[in-house]
Amino acid sequence: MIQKAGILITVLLLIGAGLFAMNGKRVVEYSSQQFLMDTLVTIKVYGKDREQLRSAVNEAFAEMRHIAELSDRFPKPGSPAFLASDVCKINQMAGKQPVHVQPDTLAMLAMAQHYAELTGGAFDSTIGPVMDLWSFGSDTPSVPNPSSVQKALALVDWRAVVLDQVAGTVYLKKPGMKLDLGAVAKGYATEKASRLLQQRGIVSGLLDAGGNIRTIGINTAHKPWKIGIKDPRMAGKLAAVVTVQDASAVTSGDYYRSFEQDGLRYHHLINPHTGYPARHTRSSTVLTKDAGVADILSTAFFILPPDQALQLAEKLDGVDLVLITADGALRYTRPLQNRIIQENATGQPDDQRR
Amino acid sequence: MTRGDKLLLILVVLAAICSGIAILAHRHTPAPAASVCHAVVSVNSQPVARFVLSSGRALEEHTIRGPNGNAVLQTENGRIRMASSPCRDKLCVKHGWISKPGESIICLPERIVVRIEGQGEVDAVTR
Repeated sequence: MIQKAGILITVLLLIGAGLFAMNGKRVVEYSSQQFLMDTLVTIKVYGKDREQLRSAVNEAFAEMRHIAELSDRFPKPGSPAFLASDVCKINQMAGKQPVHVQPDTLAMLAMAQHYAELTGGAFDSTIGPVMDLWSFGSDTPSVPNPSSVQKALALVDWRAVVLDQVAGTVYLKKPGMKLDLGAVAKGYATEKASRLLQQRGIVSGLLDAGGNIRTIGINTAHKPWKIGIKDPRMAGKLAAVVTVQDASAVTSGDYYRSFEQDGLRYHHLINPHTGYPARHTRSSTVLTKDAGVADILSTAFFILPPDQALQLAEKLDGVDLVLITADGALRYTRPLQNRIIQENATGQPDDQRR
Repeated sequence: MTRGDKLLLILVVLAAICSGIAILAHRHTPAPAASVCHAVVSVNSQPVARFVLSSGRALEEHTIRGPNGNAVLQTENGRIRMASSPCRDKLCVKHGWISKPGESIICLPERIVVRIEGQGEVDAVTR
Protein backbone atom coordinates (compact mmCIF):
# COMPACT_ATOMS: atom_id res chain seq x y z
CA MET A 1 0.00 0.00 0.00
CA ILE A 2 2.73 2.49 1.05
CA GLN A 3 4.78 1.56 -2.01
CA LYS A 4 1.81 2.14 -4.32
CA ALA A 5 1.06 5.44 -2.64
CA GLY A 6 4.70 6.47 -3.18
CA ILE A 7 4.41 5.71 -6.92
CA LEU A 8 1.18 7.67 -7.18
CA ILE A 9 2.65 10.66 -5.33
CA THR A 10 5.65 10.58 -7.71
CA VAL A 11 3.25 10.56 -10.69
CA LEU A 12 1.37 13.49 -9.17
CA LEU A 13 4.60 15.43 -8.67
CA LEU A 14 5.61 14.74 -12.28
CA ILE A 15 2.21 16.00 -13.54
CA GLY A 16 2.60 19.10 -11.35
CA ALA A 17 6.13 19.70 -12.62
CA GLY A 18 4.94 19.33 -16.21
CA LEU A 19 2.15 21.86 -15.73
CA PHE A 20 4.55 24.22 -13.95
CA ALA A 21 6.97 23.99 -16.89
CA MET A 22 4.12 24.70 -19.34
CA ASN A 23 3.18 27.68 -17.25
CA GLY A 24 6.80 28.84 -16.97
CA LYS A 25 6.55 31.20 -19.94
CA ARG A 26 3.51 33.40 -19.40
CA VAL A 27 1.70 35.17 -22.20
CA VAL A 28 3.00 38.74 -22.39
CA GLU A 29 1.60 41.80 -24.16
CA TYR A 30 3.74 43.98 -26.38
CA SER A 31 2.21 47.27 -27.45
CA SER A 32 3.62 50.12 -29.52
CA GLN A 33 2.26 53.35 -31.04
CA GLN A 34 3.35 55.45 -34.02
CA PHE A 35 1.91 58.47 -35.80
CA LEU A 36 1.39 57.34 -39.40
CA MET A 37 -1.00 58.27 -42.24
CA ASP A 38 -2.32 61.31 -40.34
CA THR A 39 -3.40 59.17 -37.43
CA LEU A 40 -2.19 57.31 -34.36
CA VAL A 41 -1.54 53.64 -35.06
CA THR A 42 -1.44 51.23 -32.10
CA ILE A 43 -0.34 47.62 -32.47
CA LYS A 44 -0.87 45.30 -29.52
CA VAL A 45 0.24 41.67 -29.75
CA TYR A 46 0.40 38.73 -27.37
CA GLY A 47 2.87 35.85 -27.18
CA LYS A 48 5.53 34.29 -25.02
CA ASP A 49 8.69 35.82 -26.44
CA ARG A 50 8.78 39.60 -25.93
CA GLU A 51 11.74 40.09 -28.25
CA GLN A 52 9.97 38.19 -31.06
CA LEU A 53 6.85 40.30 -30.53
CA ARG A 54 8.85 43.56 -30.58
CA SER A 55 10.67 42.63 -33.77
CA ALA A 56 7.43 41.58 -35.54
CA VAL A 57 5.67 44.82 -34.54
CA ASN A 58 8.59 46.91 -35.80
CA GLU A 59 8.41 45.09 -39.13
CA ALA A 60 4.65 45.69 -39.26
CA PHE A 61 5.13 49.44 -38.72
CA ALA A 62 7.80 49.51 -41.46
CA GLU A 63 5.33 47.86 -43.83
CA MET A 64 2.67 50.46 -42.99
CA ARG A 65 5.14 53.31 -43.44
CA HIS A 66 6.00 51.98 -46.91
CA ILE A 67 2.32 52.00 -47.96
CA ALA A 68 1.94 55.51 -46.47
CA GLU A 69 4.84 56.75 -48.60
CA LEU A 70 3.46 55.18 -51.79
CA SER A 71 0.03 56.74 -51.31
CA ASP A 72 0.93 60.18 -49.89
CA ARG A 73 -0.75 62.80 -52.07
CA PHE A 74 0.55 66.01 -50.56
CA PRO A 75 4.37 66.19 -50.53
CA LYS A 76 6.07 69.12 -52.33
CA PRO A 77 6.98 68.32 -55.99
CA GLY A 78 10.62 67.28 -56.23
CA SER A 79 10.94 66.46 -52.51
CA PRO A 80 12.15 62.97 -51.46
CA ALA A 81 8.60 62.22 -50.24
CA PHE A 82 7.18 63.21 -53.65
CA LEU A 83 9.65 60.93 -55.43
CA ALA A 84 8.70 58.05 -53.09
CA SER A 85 4.98 58.52 -53.77
CA ASP A 86 3.46 56.52 -56.63
CA VAL A 87 0.23 58.51 -56.30
CA CYS A 88 2.10 61.83 -56.85
CA LYS A 89 3.84 60.43 -59.91
CA ILE A 90 0.61 59.03 -61.38
CA ASN A 91 -1.23 62.34 -60.80
CA GLN A 92 1.62 64.37 -62.30
CA MET A 93 1.53 62.23 -65.47
CA ALA A 94 -2.29 62.25 -65.84
CA GLY A 95 -3.21 62.58 -69.53
CA LYS A 96 0.46 62.26 -70.48
CA GLN A 97 1.81 58.75 -69.98
CA PRO A 98 1.57 55.56 -67.89
CA VAL A 99 3.73 55.40 -64.76
CA HIS A 100 5.62 52.37 -63.43
CA VAL A 101 4.49 51.69 -59.87
CA GLN A 102 5.20 49.34 -56.98
CA PRO A 103 3.18 46.09 -56.75
CA ASP A 104 1.41 47.43 -53.63
CA THR A 105 0.13 50.46 -55.54
CA LEU A 106 -1.19 48.20 -58.30
CA ALA A 107 -2.85 45.95 -55.70
CA MET A 108 -4.53 48.93 -53.97
CA LEU A 109 -5.80 50.28 -57.29
CA ALA A 110 -7.03 46.87 -58.49
CA MET A 111 -9.08 46.64 -55.29
CA ALA A 112 -10.30 50.23 -55.68
CA GLN A 113 -11.42 49.57 -59.27
CA HIS A 114 -13.22 46.37 -58.29
CA TYR A 115 -15.27 48.11 -55.59
CA ALA A 116 -15.86 51.21 -57.70
CA GLU A 117 -17.60 48.97 -60.23
CA LEU A 118 -19.43 46.94 -57.57
CA THR A 119 -20.80 50.07 -55.85
CA GLY A 120 -21.70 51.86 -59.09
CA GLY A 121 -19.09 54.54 -58.40
CA ALA A 122 -20.21 55.31 -54.81
CA PHE A 123 -16.56 54.71 -54.09
CA ASP A 124 -14.21 56.38 -56.61
CA SER A 125 -10.44 56.70 -56.11
CA THR A 126 -10.31 59.56 -58.67
CA ILE A 127 -12.16 61.95 -56.33
CA GLY A 128 -8.92 63.97 -55.88
CA PRO A 129 -9.95 67.15 -57.82
CA VAL A 130 -13.18 67.50 -55.78
CA MET A 131 -11.39 66.87 -52.47
CA ASP A 132 -8.88 69.60 -53.39
CA LEU A 133 -11.74 72.08 -53.86
CA TRP A 134 -13.10 71.38 -50.39
CA SER A 135 -9.57 71.42 -48.87
CA PHE A 136 -10.62 69.79 -45.60
CA GLY A 137 -7.00 69.55 -44.44
CA SER A 138 -6.36 73.29 -44.78
CA ASP A 139 -6.67 76.10 -42.22
CA THR A 140 -9.66 77.60 -44.03
CA PRO A 141 -11.92 74.94 -45.56
CA SER A 142 -15.04 76.41 -47.21
CA VAL A 143 -17.95 75.35 -49.41
CA PRO A 144 -16.79 75.60 -53.04
CA ASN A 145 -18.97 77.33 -55.65
CA PRO A 146 -21.23 74.98 -57.67
CA SER A 147 -19.58 75.72 -61.03
CA SER A 148 -16.12 74.71 -59.79
CA VAL A 149 -17.65 71.56 -58.28
CA GLN A 150 -19.18 70.66 -61.67
CA LYS A 151 -15.85 71.29 -63.40
CA ALA A 152 -13.96 69.10 -60.92
CA LEU A 153 -16.62 66.36 -61.18
CA ALA A 154 -15.86 66.02 -64.91
CA LEU A 155 -12.44 64.69 -63.83
CA VAL A 156 -13.85 62.11 -61.41
CA ASP A 157 -14.14 58.88 -63.38
CA TRP A 158 -12.84 55.53 -62.17
CA ARG A 159 -13.35 54.14 -65.70
CA ALA A 160 -10.57 56.41 -66.93
CA VAL A 161 -7.96 54.64 -64.76
CA VAL A 162 -5.91 52.20 -66.83
CA LEU A 163 -4.09 49.48 -64.90
CA ASP A 164 -1.60 47.31 -66.76
CA GLN A 165 -0.78 44.42 -64.42
CA VAL A 166 1.76 42.93 -66.87
CA ALA A 167 3.72 46.13 -67.47
CA GLY A 168 3.15 47.25 -63.86
CA THR A 169 1.87 50.69 -64.90
CA VAL A 170 -1.00 53.04 -64.06
CA TYR A 171 -2.38 55.72 -66.36
CA LEU A 172 -5.04 58.38 -65.79
CA LYS A 173 -6.55 59.15 -69.17
CA LYS A 174 -7.60 62.79 -68.62
CA PRO A 175 -5.22 65.66 -67.82
CA GLY A 176 -6.02 67.08 -64.39
CA MET A 177 -7.30 63.77 -62.97
CA LYS A 178 -6.04 63.01 -59.46
CA LEU A 179 -6.06 59.81 -57.45
CA ASP A 180 -6.89 60.07 -53.76
CA LEU A 181 -6.29 56.81 -51.90
CA GLY A 182 -7.46 58.25 -48.59
CA ALA A 183 -10.18 55.61 -48.28
CA VAL A 184 -7.96 52.71 -49.34
CA ALA A 185 -4.40 53.06 -48.11
CA LYS A 186 -4.92 52.98 -44.34
CA GLY A 187 -7.01 49.80 -44.55
CA TYR A 188 -4.68 48.17 -47.05
CA ALA A 189 -1.65 49.02 -44.86
CA THR A 190 -3.42 47.68 -41.75
CA GLU A 191 -4.23 44.42 -43.54
CA LYS A 192 -0.64 44.02 -44.78
CA ALA A 193 0.72 44.66 -41.29
CA SER A 194 -1.73 42.14 -39.83
CA ARG A 195 -0.72 39.46 -42.35
CA LEU A 196 2.96 40.10 -41.67
CA LEU A 197 2.38 39.68 -37.92
CA GLN A 198 0.60 36.38 -38.57
CA GLN A 199 3.49 35.21 -40.79
CA ARG A 200 5.79 35.96 -37.85
CA GLY A 201 3.78 33.58 -35.68
CA ILE A 202 1.48 36.05 -33.89
CA VAL A 203 -1.84 34.35 -33.10
CA SER A 204 -3.44 37.04 -30.95
CA GLY A 205 -3.29 40.80 -31.47
CA LEU A 206 -5.11 43.99 -32.33
CA LEU A 207 -4.18 46.77 -34.75
CA ASP A 208 -5.89 50.13 -34.32
CA ALA A 209 -5.13 52.63 -37.08
CA GLY A 210 -7.09 55.64 -35.86
CA GLY A 211 -10.20 53.56 -35.34
CA ASN A 212 -9.66 51.17 -38.26
CA ILE A 213 -9.51 47.93 -36.29
CA ARG A 214 -7.98 44.62 -37.40
CA THR A 215 -7.97 41.77 -34.92
CA ILE A 216 -5.81 38.65 -35.07
CA GLY A 217 -7.29 35.48 -33.60
CA ILE A 218 -9.14 35.84 -30.31
CA ASN A 219 -8.28 37.86 -27.20
CA THR A 220 -6.29 36.71 -24.18
CA ALA A 221 -9.50 35.72 -22.38
CA HIS A 222 -9.97 33.20 -25.24
CA LYS A 223 -13.06 35.05 -26.48
CA PRO A 224 -13.85 37.04 -29.62
CA TRP A 225 -12.73 40.68 -29.39
CA LYS A 226 -15.35 43.17 -28.21
CA ILE A 227 -15.35 46.21 -30.48
CA GLY A 228 -17.31 49.34 -29.64
CA ILE A 229 -18.84 51.51 -32.37
CA LYS A 230 -18.53 55.19 -31.50
CA ASP A 231 -21.73 57.15 -31.05
CA PRO A 232 -21.52 59.76 -33.84
CA ARG A 233 -23.06 62.54 -31.74
CA MET A 234 -22.07 61.84 -28.11
CA ALA A 235 -18.38 61.98 -27.16
CA GLY A 236 -17.16 59.01 -25.14
CA LYS A 237 -20.37 57.01 -25.75
CA LEU A 238 -20.79 53.82 -27.77
CA ALA A 239 -23.70 53.27 -30.16
CA ALA A 240 -23.18 49.49 -30.16
CA VAL A 241 -20.77 46.74 -29.23
CA VAL A 242 -20.02 43.86 -31.63
CA THR A 243 -17.86 40.76 -31.42
CA VAL A 244 -15.09 40.28 -33.95
CA GLN A 245 -12.79 37.31 -34.43
CA ASP A 246 -9.78 37.39 -36.74
CA ALA A 247 -11.37 40.17 -38.79
CA SER A 248 -11.71 43.94 -39.21
CA ALA A 249 -14.08 46.70 -38.14
CA VAL A 250 -13.74 49.99 -40.03
CA THR A 251 -15.96 53.05 -39.67
CA SER A 252 -16.54 56.10 -41.86
CA GLY A 253 -18.20 58.89 -39.87
CA ASP A 254 -19.39 62.41 -40.62
CA TYR A 255 -17.81 63.77 -37.41
CA TYR A 256 -14.19 63.79 -38.60
CA ARG A 257 -12.58 66.36 -40.89
CA SER A 258 -15.58 68.65 -40.99
CA PHE A 259 -16.34 72.36 -40.70
CA GLU A 260 -19.37 74.55 -40.16
CA GLN A 261 -20.59 77.24 -42.51
CA ASP A 262 -23.89 79.12 -42.19
CA GLY A 263 -24.97 76.80 -39.39
CA LEU A 264 -24.45 73.61 -41.40
CA ARG A 265 -21.76 71.00 -40.96
CA TYR A 266 -19.82 69.87 -44.03
CA HIS A 267 -17.78 66.68 -43.75
CA HIS A 268 -15.17 64.96 -45.89
CA LEU A 269 -17.26 61.99 -47.11
CA ILE A 270 -18.06 63.44 -50.51
CA ASN A 271 -20.46 61.72 -52.90
CA PRO A 272 -18.47 61.23 -56.14
CA HIS A 273 -21.69 61.73 -58.15
CA THR A 274 -22.68 65.11 -56.64
CA GLY A 275 -19.45 66.61 -55.31
CA TYR A 276 -21.12 67.35 -51.94
CA PRO A 277 -21.13 65.53 -48.57
CA ALA A 278 -23.51 62.55 -48.41
CA ARG A 279 -26.30 63.18 -45.90
CA HIS A 280 -28.18 59.90 -45.38
CA THR A 281 -25.87 58.50 -42.75
CA ARG A 282 -23.87 59.52 -39.66
CA SER A 283 -21.59 56.52 -39.61
CA SER A 284 -21.07 53.31 -41.51
CA THR A 285 -19.13 50.42 -39.93
CA VAL A 286 -18.06 47.46 -42.04
CA LEU A 287 -17.13 44.15 -40.45
CA THR A 288 -15.22 41.78 -42.72
CA LYS A 289 -11.98 39.83 -42.79
CA ASP A 290 -9.82 42.17 -44.89
CA ALA A 291 -9.16 45.65 -43.46
CA GLY A 292 -8.53 47.07 -46.95
CA VAL A 293 -11.94 45.90 -48.19
CA ALA A 294 -13.54 47.17 -44.97
CA ASP A 295 -11.98 50.62 -45.48
CA ILE A 296 -13.29 50.98 -49.05
CA LEU A 297 -16.74 49.56 -48.28
CA SER A 298 -17.26 51.71 -45.17
CA THR A 299 -16.87 54.78 -47.42
CA ALA A 300 -19.06 53.37 -50.21
CA PHE A 301 -21.82 52.32 -47.78
CA PHE A 302 -21.75 55.78 -46.19
CA ILE A 303 -22.32 57.35 -49.62
CA LEU A 304 -25.08 54.97 -50.77
CA PRO A 305 -28.65 55.41 -49.46
CA PRO A 306 -29.05 53.15 -46.35
CA ASP A 307 -31.47 50.63 -47.95
CA GLN A 308 -29.20 50.17 -50.93
CA ALA A 309 -26.10 49.89 -48.72
CA LEU A 310 -27.68 47.19 -46.51
CA GLN A 311 -28.96 45.25 -49.54
CA LEU A 312 -25.54 45.28 -51.17
CA ALA A 313 -23.76 44.31 -47.93
CA GLU A 314 -26.07 41.30 -47.52
CA LYS A 315 -25.21 40.14 -51.03
CA LEU A 316 -21.46 40.17 -50.32
CA ASP A 317 -19.91 37.09 -48.75
CA GLY A 318 -18.51 37.65 -45.26
CA VAL A 319 -19.41 41.36 -45.18
CA ASP A 320 -21.54 42.89 -42.44
CA LEU A 321 -22.64 46.47 -42.00
CA VAL A 322 -23.82 48.67 -39.13
CA LEU A 323 -25.32 52.03 -40.11
CA ILE A 324 -26.31 54.90 -37.89
CA THR A 325 -28.57 56.87 -40.18
CA ALA A 326 -29.33 60.61 -40.22
CA ASP A 327 -32.48 60.05 -38.15
CA GLY A 328 -30.40 58.42 -35.40
CA ALA A 329 -31.55 54.83 -36.15
CA LEU A 330 -29.18 51.89 -35.77
CA ARG A 331 -29.55 49.47 -38.69
CA TYR A 332 -27.51 46.40 -39.52
CA THR A 333 -27.27 43.34 -41.74
CA ARG A 334 -29.25 40.30 -40.56
CA PRO A 335 -26.32 37.95 -39.70
CA LEU A 336 -25.18 40.52 -37.12
CA GLN A 337 -28.19 39.86 -34.89
CA ASN A 338 -26.14 37.34 -32.88
CA ARG A 339 -22.98 39.41 -32.80
CA ILE A 340 -24.32 42.75 -31.58
CA ILE A 341 -24.07 42.43 -27.82
CA GLN A 342 -25.13 45.94 -26.89
CA GLU A 343 -27.19 48.66 -28.54
CA ASN A 344 -27.55 52.16 -27.16
CA ALA A 345 -29.93 54.95 -28.08
CA THR A 346 -28.55 57.57 -30.43
CA GLY A 347 -29.31 61.30 -30.73
CA GLN A 348 -31.82 63.50 -32.51
CA PRO A 349 -32.40 63.53 -36.31
CA ASP A 350 -29.95 65.66 -38.35
CA ASP A 351 -30.75 68.78 -40.33
CA GLN A 352 -31.36 67.51 -43.88
CA ARG A 353 -30.53 70.69 -45.78
CA ARG A 354 -27.42 70.53 -47.95
CA MET B 1 -5.51 -3.61 -5.97
CA THR B 2 -7.44 -3.19 -2.71
CA ARG B 3 -10.45 -0.92 -2.27
CA GLY B 4 -8.23 1.53 -0.39
CA ASP B 5 -5.78 1.57 -3.32
CA LYS B 6 -8.57 2.37 -5.75
CA LEU B 7 -9.83 5.17 -3.51
CA LEU B 8 -6.32 6.62 -3.23
CA LEU B 9 -5.83 6.39 -6.99
CA ILE B 10 -9.10 8.25 -7.63
CA LEU B 11 -8.19 10.92 -5.06
CA VAL B 12 -4.73 11.45 -6.56
CA VAL B 13 -6.06 11.67 -10.13
CA LEU B 14 -8.77 14.12 -9.02
CA ALA B 15 -6.19 16.24 -7.18
CA ALA B 16 -3.96 16.27 -10.28
CA ILE B 17 -6.86 17.31 -12.55
CA CYS B 18 -8.01 20.03 -10.11
CA SER B 19 -4.51 21.47 -9.68
CA GLY B 20 -4.02 21.39 -13.48
CA ILE B 21 -7.26 23.28 -14.05
CA ALA B 22 -6.36 25.78 -11.32
CA ILE B 23 -2.93 26.46 -12.82
CA LEU B 24 -4.22 26.80 -16.38
CA ALA B 25 -7.10 29.05 -15.28
CA HIS B 26 -4.70 31.25 -13.34
CA ARG B 27 -2.60 31.77 -16.48
CA HIS B 28 -5.47 33.58 -18.15
CA THR B 29 -6.84 35.48 -15.19
CA PRO B 30 -6.32 39.19 -15.76
CA ALA B 31 -4.70 41.16 -12.96
CA PRO B 32 -7.25 42.74 -10.65
CA ALA B 33 -8.17 46.27 -11.67
CA ALA B 34 -6.47 49.00 -9.73
CA SER B 35 -8.74 50.92 -7.38
CA VAL B 36 -7.20 54.26 -8.45
CA CYS B 37 -6.93 55.16 -12.15
CA HIS B 38 -3.82 56.60 -13.72
CA ALA B 39 -3.64 58.71 -16.87
CA VAL B 40 -0.49 58.35 -18.93
CA VAL B 41 0.53 61.21 -21.21
CA SER B 42 2.88 60.63 -24.12
CA VAL B 43 4.33 62.98 -26.70
CA ASN B 44 5.62 61.46 -29.94
CA SER B 45 4.93 57.99 -28.49
CA GLN B 46 7.26 58.69 -25.52
CA PRO B 47 5.66 58.71 -22.04
CA VAL B 48 6.20 62.10 -20.39
CA ALA B 49 3.83 62.14 -17.40
CA ARG B 50 1.52 59.97 -15.30
CA PHE B 51 -1.26 61.43 -13.16
CA VAL B 52 -3.35 59.84 -10.43
CA LEU B 53 -7.09 60.24 -11.05
CA SER B 54 -8.95 59.85 -7.78
CA SER B 55 -12.40 60.98 -6.83
CA GLY B 56 -12.75 64.05 -4.64
CA ARG B 57 -9.45 65.52 -5.84
CA ALA B 58 -9.47 69.28 -6.54
CA LEU B 59 -8.79 70.80 -9.95
CA GLU B 60 -5.12 70.77 -10.96
CA GLU B 61 -3.45 72.00 -14.14
CA HIS B 62 -0.50 70.31 -15.80
CA THR B 63 1.55 71.78 -18.64
CA ILE B 64 2.77 69.43 -21.37
CA ARG B 65 5.36 70.60 -23.89
CA GLY B 66 4.41 69.60 -27.45
CA PRO B 67 6.25 70.26 -30.73
CA ASN B 68 4.45 73.60 -31.29
CA GLY B 69 4.10 74.91 -27.76
CA ASN B 70 2.50 74.07 -24.44
CA ALA B 71 -0.73 72.14 -23.95
CA VAL B 72 -2.56 72.28 -20.62
CA LEU B 73 -4.25 69.26 -19.06
CA GLN B 74 -6.67 69.49 -16.15
CA THR B 75 -7.35 66.71 -13.64
CA GLU B 76 -10.27 66.85 -11.24
CA ASN B 77 -12.39 64.37 -9.29
CA GLY B 78 -11.20 61.21 -11.10
CA ARG B 79 -11.21 62.65 -14.61
CA ILE B 80 -8.88 64.41 -17.04
CA ARG B 81 -9.26 66.71 -20.06
CA MET B 82 -7.24 68.80 -22.45
CA ALA B 83 -7.98 72.39 -21.38
CA SER B 84 -5.92 74.09 -24.09
CA SER B 85 -3.61 73.11 -26.93
CA PRO B 86 -1.67 75.02 -29.57
CA CYS B 87 -3.22 72.82 -32.30
CA ARG B 88 -5.45 74.31 -35.00
CA ASP B 89 -8.51 72.07 -34.91
CA LYS B 90 -8.85 71.83 -31.07
CA LEU B 91 -10.46 68.38 -31.45
CA CYS B 92 -8.59 67.30 -28.33
CA VAL B 93 -10.09 70.18 -26.31
CA LYS B 94 -13.58 69.51 -27.72
CA HIS B 95 -13.23 65.83 -26.69
CA GLY B 96 -13.94 66.89 -23.09
CA TRP B 97 -13.38 64.87 -19.93
CA ILE B 98 -12.41 61.18 -19.85
CA SER B 99 -12.56 59.05 -16.72
CA LYS B 100 -12.86 55.36 -17.64
CA PRO B 101 -10.03 52.83 -18.11
CA GLY B 102 -9.14 52.44 -21.80
CA GLU B 103 -10.40 55.93 -22.77
CA SER B 104 -8.02 58.30 -24.51
CA ILE B 105 -7.67 61.83 -25.88
CA ILE B 106 -5.50 62.16 -28.96
CA CYS B 107 -4.10 65.42 -30.31
CA LEU B 108 -2.70 64.48 -33.72
CA PRO B 109 -1.09 67.84 -34.60
CA GLU B 110 0.73 68.00 -31.27
CA ARG B 111 1.36 64.24 -31.16
CA ILE B 112 0.00 64.10 -27.60
CA VAL B 113 -1.88 61.04 -26.34
CA VAL B 114 -3.61 60.92 -22.94
CA ARG B 115 -4.75 57.43 -22.02
CA ILE B 116 -6.33 56.09 -18.87
CA GLU B 117 -4.58 52.86 -17.96
CA GLY B 118 -6.47 49.59 -17.66
CA GLN B 119 -8.88 47.47 -19.64
CA GLY B 120 -12.05 49.22 -20.74
CA GLU B 121 -15.47 47.64 -21.33
CA VAL B 122 -14.40 46.88 -24.93
CA ASP B 123 -11.09 45.84 -26.53
CA ALA B 124 -11.14 48.75 -29.02
CA VAL B 125 -13.46 51.36 -30.49
CA THR B 126 -13.99 51.77 -34.23
CA ARG B 127 -14.67 55.41 -35.14
